[in-house]
Order: sequence, then C-alpha cells, then structure tokens
Amino acid sequence: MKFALFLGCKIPFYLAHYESSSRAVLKTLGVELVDIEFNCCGYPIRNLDFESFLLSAARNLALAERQNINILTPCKCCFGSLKHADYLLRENDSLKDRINSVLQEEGLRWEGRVEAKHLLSVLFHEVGLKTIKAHIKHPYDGLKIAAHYGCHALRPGKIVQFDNPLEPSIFERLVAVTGAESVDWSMRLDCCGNPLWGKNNPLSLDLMRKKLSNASQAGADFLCAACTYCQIQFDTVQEAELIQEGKREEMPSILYPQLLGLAFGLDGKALGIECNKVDISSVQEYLS
Amino acid sequence: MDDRRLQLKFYETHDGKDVLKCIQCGTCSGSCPLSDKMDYAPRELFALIRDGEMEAVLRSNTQWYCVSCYQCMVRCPQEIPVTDLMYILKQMAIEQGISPKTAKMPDLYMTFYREVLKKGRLTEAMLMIRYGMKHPTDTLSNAFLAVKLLKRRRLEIIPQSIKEPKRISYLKSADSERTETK
Repeated sequence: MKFALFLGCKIPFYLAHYESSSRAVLKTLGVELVDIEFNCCGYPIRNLDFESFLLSAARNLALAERQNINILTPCKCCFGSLKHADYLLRENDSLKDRINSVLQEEGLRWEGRVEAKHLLSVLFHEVGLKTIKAHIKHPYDGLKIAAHYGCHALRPGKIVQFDNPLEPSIFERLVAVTGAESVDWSMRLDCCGNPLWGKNNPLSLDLMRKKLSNASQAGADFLCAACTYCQIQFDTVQEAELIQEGKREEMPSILYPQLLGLAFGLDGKALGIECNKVDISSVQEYLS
Repeated sequence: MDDRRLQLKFYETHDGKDVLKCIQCGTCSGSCPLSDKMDYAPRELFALIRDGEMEAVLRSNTQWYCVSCYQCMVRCPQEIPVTDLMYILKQMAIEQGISPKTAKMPDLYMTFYREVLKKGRLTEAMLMIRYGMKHPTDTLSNAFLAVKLLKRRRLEIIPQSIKEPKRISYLKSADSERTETK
C-alpha cells in the first residue's frame, strides 16, 4: 500500500508532530509514503477566486496522477478541498478543459485517475480495523475520548464521501480499536471555530468553548482530532486564550495518530507527545 | 455596478442560479452555528438576493461569518450549495471593493492569496508581516503567541517556497483584475 503524503501548508509550521506521528503509525502498519512537492490545496483562496482555488487543488491531483499514486492527507480541510476540486472537474467538462489547458503548460493533466483520501479513511477502509488491532500492544484501559470529526471530512457527504454525514461512526470505531471508550457528545459534528480565528476571535472562541464544555460534560478525558485546523484550535488556541487567561479548565486534545501510536508501543518522542501545548502526557497512564 | 447587474453577475457564477430553488424553509438558518450573529441569516440573505438587494447583501457580514461547516448544505431539502454561495458572495464583495463592517477578513484572505501566488504555498511568518502592516494591533496581540511557538520550534521564520512558484502564475491574471477593499 503506497500513498503520496499531502501535508498542506500548516502542518510543517504548526504541527510537525502530526506529520511525525502519522508517519510513525503508517510505517508500523506497512503503508509506504511518497513525498511529492505539492502546492497549497486551494482552500484559503476559495474566498477570492473560484478557478484559482480549483487550479491549485487540481495541480496537486495532477502531480499525483503523473506518478499514478493516490493522495493521503492528515488535514481535513486539504482533504475537502481536493475532493471538491475532483468533484467539480468530473461534473463540468468546460471547467476541466480550462484547468487542463493551464496545467498543460507544465506537462500536467487532470483525468481523475487518482483519489485523495484522508488519514482516517485509509486507516479504516484500506488498512482495516483487524490489521490495526493486531498491532495494538498496550490497549487503553478506562480512557474516555471525545472524537471530533471535523467539518470538511464529513460534509458535503455527496462530495467527500467520507462517512454518513449526519450519523458517522468511523472515528469512534477507530478509537474503540485502541481500547479507549468514545463518549457520546451532542456537539461532535460541529465546527471547532478555527475558520474565524484571527478574523473574529470572540466568535471563534465562543464556538470552541461550547464544544469543550460539551465534551467535558459528556465525561471525556481527552478530545481526539484528526485535522490540522481543529487541532490548532483545540491545542494552540485553547492553551493561549482560554487556559492561560484562566477562562476554563483544560480539555487536552490528542491527535489520532498519537493516540494510536502509544497503543502500538511507539516511542512518545517520535509521536511528539511533548509537542502539544496543552499537556497530553497523562494519557500514557491509561495504557495497559 | 448597480443592483440589477450585480444580481445577474451572481446568477452567472457557478451554482449562483441555485438560489432560485430556495423555498424559504429556514433549515439553513436553523443549522447555522452563527446565524444569530449575522446581519441576515442565510434564508434572509437568499430572499434579498432574489429581490435584487445586492448592495445590502454584499455589505452584510453574513458571508464573512460563514465558517464553511456545511451543516446547512447537508440539510437543505432543495440541495442548494449554501456554503458555496457564501464563497461566491465573498469573491464578489472583494471584487466590487465593498467591504463589510468587519473589514479585516477580506484583508486576511487577500494576504493568503498573494502569498500563494508568490510562493505556491503559505508561510506563516510572511503572512504575519504582510497582514501586520494593515492591522498592527492584531500583530502585537499575537506577538506573545509567536514567541511561544518559536520556543517550541513550531514557527518557521524563513519563508519557504515551492520550487517553481510561477507555476501558479495563472492566478496572477485573476489578481490583476481585482481591486483592494475600501
């Protein structure tokens, strides 16, 4: 099993441990990763120009297509953006021609032969729970996790085809295989607030605060995220704006590959356990 | 551009005409996490578009408060791509140089856009510098965070570029037609 790893722009700066933990976990599971020099997924420029967004996303798909390899991305916003572009190009021939005419200048072409997949989909559908389970050396005992889905993986379901957009279950099942228990929380499918961070901070914090309270009321010890932006919000922003300011008790957020990697018995350093701003080291106390 | 021409322009965009399918049920507004903070909730905004009140639409904060969570889109009984329409409205507002009361957002998006154009990807330090020139108080308030990120080696200072950023040069033609927001 082989994929081109699409990190997106934010992971290398903000969440290098998301990359290292994803690589470590996938290596253990025998998934090979290829590095291609991708560009921006297009998501941040969607607010400004439709075709520029499409071109930016399509160029990445075309780069992977040239090497005939599917894309794996740990970021749900990159995933959504690439899936959107794929859908739009399939749907509309004149768009496809326009984009291809630009890509052609550098010998690239989009024909829709490769797919973009999210880390969680690869783990669930391609690797499979059975294989993952076989690698678990230290299952968690008594750990309660609030799995946070992330909007752009789930919706619009017709385009991203990640899971049932209204009643998804793959994240909880991926959590369950580690031995941890997923709590049932009503806001699990809601926005983390990060899209408004830096643009309207009070609103952004308000959305996050509601989610954090909802997770702790449901009895969760940790949030679990598998998206760049959501993790930046729940880790970096939560620490700086809510905990430092003494506005609420912490609800640490662990990245899914960190959670899984510890249960595999991988070294905490490789998983970047100490890199989270809201300390997650206590999760190791639940390992059996 | 007058309201009528703006309305036609909106209808001509990809998905723009879908607003005509709206049955004004309000499911979008009910699904939206921020509709109570918006000048017009999505349902009202769509009614305004159909009434041709485009200036009011483009001046509203609604599209800028959209977090693109797509909750509205999966629930809309008419399958209107609500979130995608919000993107179109943002693009139009910037194009027309019409900015909402919360004028920072267009500037931030513009900063992202220019950076992608130049380097093919985003570089945090450059984003801060470019955006900071327009909104210095924001930059100062984020300075402490930047220092903390640096300490944990979670902030890159030297801007990186993809090897051939001019490959995204197609974006340039779109950029030159665009006016700054006022």
